[in-house]
Amino acid sequence: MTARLLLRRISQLLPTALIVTFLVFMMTLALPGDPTTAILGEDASAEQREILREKLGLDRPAAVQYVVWLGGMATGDFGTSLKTGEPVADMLALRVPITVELTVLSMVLAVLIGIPAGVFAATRRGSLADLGISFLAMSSMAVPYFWAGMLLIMLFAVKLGWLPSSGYVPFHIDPFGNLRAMILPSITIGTAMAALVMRQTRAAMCETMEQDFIRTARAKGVRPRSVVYRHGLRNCLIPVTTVIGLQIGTLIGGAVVTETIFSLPGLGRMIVNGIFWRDFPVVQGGIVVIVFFVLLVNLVTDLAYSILDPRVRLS
Amino acid sequence: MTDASPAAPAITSPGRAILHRFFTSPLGVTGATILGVLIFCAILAPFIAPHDPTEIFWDHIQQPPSATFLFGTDELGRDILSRVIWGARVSLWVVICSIGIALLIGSLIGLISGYVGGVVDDVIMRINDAILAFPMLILALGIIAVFGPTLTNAILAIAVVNIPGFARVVRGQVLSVREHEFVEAARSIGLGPAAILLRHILPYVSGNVIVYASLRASAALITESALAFLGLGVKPPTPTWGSMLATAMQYWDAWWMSIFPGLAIFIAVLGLNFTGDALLDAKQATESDN
Repeated sequence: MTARLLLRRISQLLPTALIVTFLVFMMTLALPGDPTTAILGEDASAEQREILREKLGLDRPAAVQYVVWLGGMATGDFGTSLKTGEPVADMLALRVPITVELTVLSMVLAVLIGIPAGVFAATRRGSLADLGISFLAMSSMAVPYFWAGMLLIMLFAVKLGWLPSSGYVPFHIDPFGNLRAMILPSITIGTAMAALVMRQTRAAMCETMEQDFIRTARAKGVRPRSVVYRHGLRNCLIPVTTVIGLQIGTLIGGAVVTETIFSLPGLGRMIVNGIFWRDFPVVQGGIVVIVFFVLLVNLVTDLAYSILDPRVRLS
Repeated sequence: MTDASPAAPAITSPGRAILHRFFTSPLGVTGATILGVLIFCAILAPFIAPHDPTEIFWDHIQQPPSATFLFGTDELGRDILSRVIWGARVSLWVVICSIGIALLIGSLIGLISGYVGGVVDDVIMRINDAILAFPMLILALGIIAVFGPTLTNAILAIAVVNIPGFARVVRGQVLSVREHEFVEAARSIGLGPAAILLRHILPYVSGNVIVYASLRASAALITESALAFLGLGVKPPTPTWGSMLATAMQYWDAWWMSIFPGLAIFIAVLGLNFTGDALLDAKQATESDN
């Protein structure tokens, strides 16, 4: 049952994934004029151009280039950086964990703040506290990540000196220092996400608490706390989880700018620097990894949803 | 006209009813007011800005807010208030152009996809899904990586990123009205597909499209600022909120350099969000009345 569902979902995903790779591949084809000029600049010699052309495989037909590129990625070969000559796969191996750590920490923070706040607001619907929380959430969603990060640096790093504004260290070298450097970036993304989670939780809770089984639970004397958490919240977790899963793309987009502010050497910074240096294999590798990560998370969310909720599985 | 009995029910178009609801809701009024101020600043920037946004005051380098420079001056001695006012121009221009382009192209794709159906629909929707799999900022970055960081390319990138959303909204709507009687009637009197789509279906879906556009506008504004912040938007010395913030990152002690441009983005996004939410509310309330 579940295996069949998994297979069906994956087979639906495959064409999308292929088109994604094709779109990313098209980046090099779409370069205006001669791609070697775009990459090397106007005053590169013919010899330099020829070397690059060969390196990129531009002397071959586009379809062959695409298949070779795709095959390479499937076997872990993402090409080499035009700037440093480093294999892109090695660069990715260093940078993916940083972005993933930032994403996971932000998500945890968003859930820890968002769900209790949502429940709190929903159980006091229409009260001043509810209005206050909703207002705070709406404001928090209007603050762009980069400004939120800057404000946090100004307050906690520059003025109070409590936390560093940069200075990333890998977790396995200095776990404490690593987490310290991750606090402000995670708050930057986490609070904005928390607002979304809160709104979703509140909406779902308001709907659930109106239902008959909640009344029944109350009528048979279940403690109010238990009604809210064991009966109410439990039924809200599915839609809330789905929304969190679907927001992963926004979250990673936020990670790109946040990494720039806090000088975290993650995927986002790699892509942005790659754009400045016109280092296409690096940009392409980074984008493919991010999009595949998003697709994977969406797939997992989708499956989790179907497994958790029998109504979906049966339909 | 004069002898119309007052008891007759007032016949208002749904559009008017929505607008009435919008302008009587606190959210809508607040949003519209903020947008009004922004548009006012953008259009009249040369007249209301106290100084030229690129003029350098050599003896007022990085001054905190004062009577002459209400928002202070930046690292080159330029008036921040004037730069914030001029910044509204670039941001609004990008939002209007990119959402406008996305609306036109996306709606057209959605109309065709929904009306023609079959293989065409399948292919278009698959490509749509693939584009939607890209985080918005990442796709915009990819497009700018190819065509280079300029204002026009930022507009195009934000437009492309938003096309699939519009296509999806319009397609869904077309699918639901395609079999309605009024469409059938149009077909029966011999109208071609183009006429049916443009004259009968388009007006029907336009309400949803406009509401969707207003909801996407704030995301477009944030993307524009993010691109400018990363140095991938407009070139200096043209003032934009995002690039002002990027500069401010090098001068932490000059708090006014980061507070005011950031506030401008925050208020603008809030205004767009309020407007979008209020429009959506008004539309849903009007529909449930009918």
